[in-house]
Amino acid sequence: MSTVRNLGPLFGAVAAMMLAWACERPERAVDSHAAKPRFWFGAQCPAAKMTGGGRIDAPLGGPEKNPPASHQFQTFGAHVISDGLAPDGTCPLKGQLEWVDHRDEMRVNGRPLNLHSEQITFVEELLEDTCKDGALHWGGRLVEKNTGEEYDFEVFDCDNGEPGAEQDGFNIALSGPGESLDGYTLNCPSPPSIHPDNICTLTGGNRQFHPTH
Amino acid sequence: MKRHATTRGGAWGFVVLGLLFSAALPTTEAWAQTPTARSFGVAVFTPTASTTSPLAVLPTDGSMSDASAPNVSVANFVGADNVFATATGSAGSAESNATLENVSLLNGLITANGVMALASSALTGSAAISDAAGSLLDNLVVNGASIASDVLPNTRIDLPGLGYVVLNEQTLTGDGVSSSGITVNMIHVVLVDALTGAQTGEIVVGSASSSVN
Repeated sequence: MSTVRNLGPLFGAVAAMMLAWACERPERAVDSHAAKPRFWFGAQCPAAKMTGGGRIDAPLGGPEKNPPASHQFQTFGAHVISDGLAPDGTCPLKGQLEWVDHRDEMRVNGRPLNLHSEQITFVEELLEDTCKDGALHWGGRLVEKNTGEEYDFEVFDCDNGEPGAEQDGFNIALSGPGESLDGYTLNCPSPPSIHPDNICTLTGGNRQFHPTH
Repeated sequence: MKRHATTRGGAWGFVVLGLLFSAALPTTEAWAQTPTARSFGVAVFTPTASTTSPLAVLPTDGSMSDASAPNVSVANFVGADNVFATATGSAGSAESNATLENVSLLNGLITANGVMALASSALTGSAAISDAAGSLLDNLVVNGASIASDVLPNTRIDLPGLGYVVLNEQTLTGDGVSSSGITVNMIHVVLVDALTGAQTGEIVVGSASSSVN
């Protein structure tokens, strides 16, 4: 009992230090599981928009294309639109994701893996120096069209100027409730990707960040 | 009372008409900048067949459209599997892509294991740019001859007795300053009457287009 009483001031000091640290650093670091990107995130629900689509050649996920016959590539289209926080504190969002993984090992009954969003539930700023025009972290719920299984998804969406090919970045990560693709993400080490933190470099297409709309 | 109701009905009519009219009008943003994006897997235009499928066209609200088909077949002209088309964009940017597998045209005269068309356009602030980076032809064979996957844009090959095919056909539009657009047709067959030389039909496989202004 006396030990607890003696530690009281220490707990208070630690709490004060943590509070001060939090006030100095509004971002929060997310250390997710091994293959998922790691980032500093900024404001939640910014008024912003990201549009476009393209091609990724993962693995390895760098700016160079894999041989055509390898089928080692993914294509996608994606957009997210946020008006910013509403007066009632909610974050009205619109968006859509269409994702096709053409790799042989990802096929289901001969069809490429095909993911399509059902709902967009969050968006926040993604703070990444290699995304000079802007970046967002957003996601929601999607369905694997091959099987009907549903997953939560998050995308790491990076606009690094024009043109988008060999400059912009993108990656996706899935988690349950579906099982077969739980943990699905692309492996895009840097190098060859020009972006750190497992963001894949586009080999075609473009991502376009609109800070306001 | 009856006349009063009629007058009110007329007022409601104007309100409804006004709402319909305003809904049909583009937003201020759309007036200023109108991106377009469109992609499709297969198009056939002949006296006996006319089809475009699957087709994705960027909606006027600048969001996204996608379409897919497990297979597409137009007898005697073209067949393909696993066809996907996506079109996205917003003010200042547009992107579209189309992918196909196991492509066969004109009863095997032209075959390809895979076809991908990507078109991307963007305003950079000082210029307007478009490109077809990431587009590919995988294991293309034309009339028995293998064609390199990095075939030069607008490569024309004659098809004796039938017409000709243009591979990786790219058409640029715009002034490169305030406007830019591109259409890429990965395989474009032009059917020609052997006697008169008149064009009798067209087959396009893997098409993507985008434009901004």
